[in-house]
Amino acid sequence: MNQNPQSSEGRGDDDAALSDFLASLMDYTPTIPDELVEHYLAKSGFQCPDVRLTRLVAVATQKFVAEVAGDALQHCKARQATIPKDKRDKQQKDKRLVLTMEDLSKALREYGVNLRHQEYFADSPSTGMDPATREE
Amino acid sequence: MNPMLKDSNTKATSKLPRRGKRKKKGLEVKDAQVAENPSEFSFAIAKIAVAQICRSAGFKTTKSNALETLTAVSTRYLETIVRLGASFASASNRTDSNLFDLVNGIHDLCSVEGFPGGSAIHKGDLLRSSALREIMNFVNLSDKVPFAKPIKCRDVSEVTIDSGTLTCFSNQAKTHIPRWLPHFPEQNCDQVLVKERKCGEKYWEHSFAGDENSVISQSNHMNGKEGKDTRMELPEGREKMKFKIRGEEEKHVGLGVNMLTGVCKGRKRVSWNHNKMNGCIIDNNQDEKR
Repeated sequence: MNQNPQSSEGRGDDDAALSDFLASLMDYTPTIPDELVEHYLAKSGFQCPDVRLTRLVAVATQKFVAEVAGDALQHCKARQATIPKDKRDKQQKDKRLVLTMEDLSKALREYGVNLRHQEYFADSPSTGMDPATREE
Repeated sequence: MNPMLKDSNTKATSKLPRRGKRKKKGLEVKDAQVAENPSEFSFAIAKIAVAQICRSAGFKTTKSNALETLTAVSTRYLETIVRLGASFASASNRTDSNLFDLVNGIHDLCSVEGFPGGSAIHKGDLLRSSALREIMNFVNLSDKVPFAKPIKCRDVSEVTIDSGTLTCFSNQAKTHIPRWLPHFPEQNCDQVLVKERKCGEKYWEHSFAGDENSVISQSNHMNGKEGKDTRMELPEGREKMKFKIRGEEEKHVGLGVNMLTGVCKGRKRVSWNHNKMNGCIIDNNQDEKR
């Protein structure tokens, strides 16, 4: 483990906190299961018998997903707040917080992922002929 | 330990994500699909985990395409972290990755949105990196949401490797072999494989080493029907064989084998020095007799 020169440096509270954190990962149960992470570890050639590193990978991914989902939630709330009141009453039933591609693409754009979904499905020859009939 | 290895029985394993989806709290996952390959199975498990994280973030419902997209992005994120860690380890001439490789990989991925101290990541202490500290804060502050359903692990030793190879189980723990690799076949498996070949085919070396006299004894019985079985056992004294290819009728001297079905079917010029071939066989036999 301690092959880098950095390990010999830096002692104090940070190291104690880090060692406590790594020890706490033994008891921590991430949402992403260990078996899934180990599958990706094996797929990518990451070889390490330490369970704590597996959990650390799971936690890092979980943090990323949680941040993206949190940003998408903020976008969702902001989008719902911009709807005028008279229309909002009609859409009261749909005021549930729904993760949509629109919010997700906005949230992922901050993380360097450019996501675009197709604007319409050309399921009939007349689709797209009249832009006024298009919803988006 | 590897969840993908237990996916050979798709019916049994595919029930797992289906149950999880149904149990899960009103998230819109309409279609309960049967995973046909390991990647679909891993994707289904990751989808459940991502849906749980979305629910803990505050969403009540997700569109299925948005959930699948977020799952694809998150699995790629995980894979990229791991691959970066493995590449850092291999750049340091190590096969085992450690915490520093992982922190370096996290730094590379977090550099897109930036983090405190990101401008001097190669100068400072890796263990004091703020990206790692953010993960620590996330673990300390967020609620623990375990996975919806326990994943049953099938024993790795039960997995058959490939068709045609025989799986042999060794009780010896070989620590230098990575865990995800299948077991080595034992040494006597080679002989078992030769016996179990269906078409009666033999290895070239076994055809000579097994029976020395078979070459000589079968040399007089060479004809078209036996040509398939004894194709590696050439007779000693054979006449020189000539055949012409372009437009003229082919002559088969000595052997009754229809060469049109074999070597010169593609109308290509073939040169075959039988004297050398016979010489090799004679030499081999002489060596074996010594």
